Amino acid sequence: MSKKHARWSWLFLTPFIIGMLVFTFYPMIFSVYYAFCDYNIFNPPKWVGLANFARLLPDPATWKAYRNSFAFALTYIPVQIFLAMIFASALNQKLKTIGFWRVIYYLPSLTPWVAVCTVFTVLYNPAYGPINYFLSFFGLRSEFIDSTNWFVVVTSLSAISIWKGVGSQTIYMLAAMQNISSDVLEAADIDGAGPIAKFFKIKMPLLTPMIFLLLLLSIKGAVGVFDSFYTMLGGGTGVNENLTVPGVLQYEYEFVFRKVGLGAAMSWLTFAIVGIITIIQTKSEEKWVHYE
Amino acid sequence: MKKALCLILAALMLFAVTGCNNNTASEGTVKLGMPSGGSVTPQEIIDGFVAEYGNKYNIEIDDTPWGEFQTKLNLGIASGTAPALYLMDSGYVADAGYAGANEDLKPLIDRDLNVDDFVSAIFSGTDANGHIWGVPHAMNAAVIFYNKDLFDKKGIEYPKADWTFDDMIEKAKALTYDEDGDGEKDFYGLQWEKNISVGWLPLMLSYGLEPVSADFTKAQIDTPEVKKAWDTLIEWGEGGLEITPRRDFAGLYPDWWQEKVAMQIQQVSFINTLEQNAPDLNYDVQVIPAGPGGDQNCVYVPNMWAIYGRSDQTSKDAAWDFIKYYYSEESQDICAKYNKGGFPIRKSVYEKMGETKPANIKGIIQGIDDRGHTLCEGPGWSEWRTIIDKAFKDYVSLTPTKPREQILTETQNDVQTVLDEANAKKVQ
Amino acid sequence: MNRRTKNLIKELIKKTISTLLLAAGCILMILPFMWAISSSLVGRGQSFTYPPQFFAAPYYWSNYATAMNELNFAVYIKNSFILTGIACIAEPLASAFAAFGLSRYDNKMVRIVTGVVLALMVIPVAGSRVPSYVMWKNMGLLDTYIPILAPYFLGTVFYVYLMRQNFKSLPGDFYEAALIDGCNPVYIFLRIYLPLAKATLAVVVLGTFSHEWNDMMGPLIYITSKSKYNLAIGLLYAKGNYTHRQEVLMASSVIMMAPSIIIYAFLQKYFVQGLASAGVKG
Repeated sequence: MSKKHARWSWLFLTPFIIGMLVFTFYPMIFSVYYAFCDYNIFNPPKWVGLANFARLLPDPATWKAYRNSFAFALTYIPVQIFLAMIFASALNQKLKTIGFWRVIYYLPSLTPWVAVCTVFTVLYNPAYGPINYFLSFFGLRSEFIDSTNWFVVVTSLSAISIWKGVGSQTIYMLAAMQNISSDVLEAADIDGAGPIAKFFKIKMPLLTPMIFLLLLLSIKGAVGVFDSFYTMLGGGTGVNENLTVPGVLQYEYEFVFRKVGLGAAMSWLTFAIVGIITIIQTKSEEKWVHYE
Repeated sequence: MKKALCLILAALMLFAVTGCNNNTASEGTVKLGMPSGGSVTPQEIIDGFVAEYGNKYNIEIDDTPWGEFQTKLNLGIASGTAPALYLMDSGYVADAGYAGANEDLKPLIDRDLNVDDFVSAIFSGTDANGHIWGVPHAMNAAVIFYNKDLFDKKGIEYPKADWTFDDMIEKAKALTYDEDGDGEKDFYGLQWEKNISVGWLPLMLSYGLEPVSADFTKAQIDTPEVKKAWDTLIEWGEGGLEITPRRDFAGLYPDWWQEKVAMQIQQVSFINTLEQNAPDLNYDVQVIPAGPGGDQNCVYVPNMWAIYGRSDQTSKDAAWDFIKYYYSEESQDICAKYNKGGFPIRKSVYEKMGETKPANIKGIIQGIDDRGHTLCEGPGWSEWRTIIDKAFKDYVSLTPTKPREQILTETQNDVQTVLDEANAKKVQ
Repeated sequence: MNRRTKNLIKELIKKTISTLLLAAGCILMILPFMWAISSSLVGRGQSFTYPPQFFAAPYYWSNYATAMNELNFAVYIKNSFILTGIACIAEPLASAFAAFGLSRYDNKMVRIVTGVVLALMVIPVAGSRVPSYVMWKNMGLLDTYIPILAPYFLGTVFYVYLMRQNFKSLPGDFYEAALIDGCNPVYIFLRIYLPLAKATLAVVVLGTFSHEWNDMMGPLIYITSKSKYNLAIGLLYAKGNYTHRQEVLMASSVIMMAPSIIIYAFLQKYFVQGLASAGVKG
């Protein structure tokens, strides 16, 4: 690239940089500041040093929230990526009906959380819910989000997130699959590779960059999960300590208890944890992600 | 194609700028916060006020959905742009008042209102020093809703105002039964809730217990009496009376209006839900019965009108004019007609009141006047009541996460910490 | 059997299996919607019956009329279209513009911005809403759509990343050649690179659409007049506290979903074309 033209980069990047400074970094600086303050919104923030973190770290609620978040991620991420790969492979068969399927699978992604939570609260209800009614024909029954077992509750909610998110992940995966040049696959055909071998030996490695990207994005999504937990488990009276997630705790601190500093500290704790996971992942990237 | 896109873009931009820019906040605009507009405060009153005072003030109504109003209010207070008038959860009023966010209404009330015209609840926003940081929007009392048809079917006498817990349990037991003989209960006698206003607070007050001391310095949770009170709910549950584990849908309680439950503790605002969903239901309301020690209570939530203390004088005047307008006989009659969010507080409304549905509204008003009790609002309220909410839910569940004694001890300590912290701040 | 027939049979089997698989998934995807539609058609207070009713007559279409009339949905729908329309045009252009800068040039600033983009994309960064709110207030722009829409005109991290990936995969020769022909970089961006990135642009349009259509926080914070709210806020009104009717809420939800479904069904045709043309790259 000619050096002379590098100054054009300023033209292209200035609006975006302004946007980041104003809409990301400016609010972020305040949030960092509040994390070290006692701030109840009525009075100006007062510097308290590490007091907010000192309160969060020994609190069992904090770690239960991360435990739930972790359990949520462990069920949500692998299942979603796995399903997205299956559906994308199926869609990639040059079907005439591809448009129809694509609409159907993307529908949940277009649905607002308010509506999703309303529908699933009814679907999951142990007493009236149609899911339990259906299961009753097989002599099965689950309490879903009313269960006393936190893991059942968390997986019930991660199922909703999978339902909502798998469509868009399928589309991304499909885009990656369509980018695999047909030469490579034809070459494999000539070599006489079977469909399964073809998938694992040839397609899979070429898909790893997309899988890696989806993985990183899903972690952010899983840790940030809020709407379903807050609406479906709390209903306004606070989410049980056993079932809470970081997003909900942070909301409670900031908007219910009006301890903005504590809420900010919680979100930076989350930031640190996700940051560490991301760094580990990026380090492992070269071991399994293949770029052409 | 590209030209078409540009045209669309230009048209939309024009929309964004002209269509939406016509009333940017100008000098002298008075912003009044009306969460969920007409569905919380009757639209007739809002319109009537604008019609009457529209010449005097440049009024702008900030109408935000109820559930999100407090979130938006937080932001407004933090950035100094809150509306001049807003509805505030009663629990926040004291904290906001001490911090200078809410105006002290005491001088205004003394100047403009004849307090004899109102029920005593008008003073429920008073703090220990005599400041009044908010005045009630309505009184949303916790009562027992009972289904007359289910009572009649079993020939059981309706609850009376002087009933007791024992009466309630006796009736509930008789009304819990398996009709079709399939071994599963079809009808339940009583449904009790688990949150503060229709759950643990009325329960504790019936046992003569307060969760915190009157001066808000001591938590009073880890005592044998509290244990006994909380155990009551477990006993009922084991007796098969309580079916709250059927998750409620956004305050709808379909079990109740689908006539599967005979008695249900709920706030009087539930009448609105019933009108919407089951207008033909044959039901009435009764005050909460007296506990084992003879203590009877009538817990009510007075969500508060408050004036933003940092707005300019014109805005404050307008806000106070609205409150006066809202408390006028005419407006209070409208409130009584729609019954949004509880009962009005002007006495004349009840003198005029004829036949009501449910029939016993007057009895409830009497109950509030005799032994009304608010939600123990005080320093740190929102935090400690959430702690007890969660602890109580855990305590009464069939499989608590830790031993029940331990729940009480931990709750005691947590609530005490919150109180200490909140009181320390108050002194400053 | 010759190779052609064999291949055809193989294709057929593959397609059948795929269709069956997709159909099975489709049922799971669509059932909650069918449930929502079914419960939007029940009578007053009939939402919670057991055993559950699924499309049992009679149908109460009046629930939709209630949502449209009593909750004033027509206004919210118009506002949602204005907001979403502007966002869907601004966002792809702004993101592509920035992404072009990141993909075609290489200097210290580009490397820093790229790093920041990658980090922000995957790590949840907290931000306080108060400072932005105060900023817009001081500019006198509260209760307008500008605070909600401004970010779309400057580009969003994730879409900048997507566009950058796409531009990176396009050969740089076009750029060099066009420069020699005396074209300026903006012209090169608009006339050469942007048309080649249709597929990714479609993804950005779609993502922006569903984001802005469902955006509740922006209008909630910056808008105060009820007449300017969008549908997402309208839905919260339907959830109301004292006037809650489950069947009307369901009807409202269906009304909210309908336009995005129709628009998506329409858009995805271009989406397929775009993706097909994107197959050229690599």
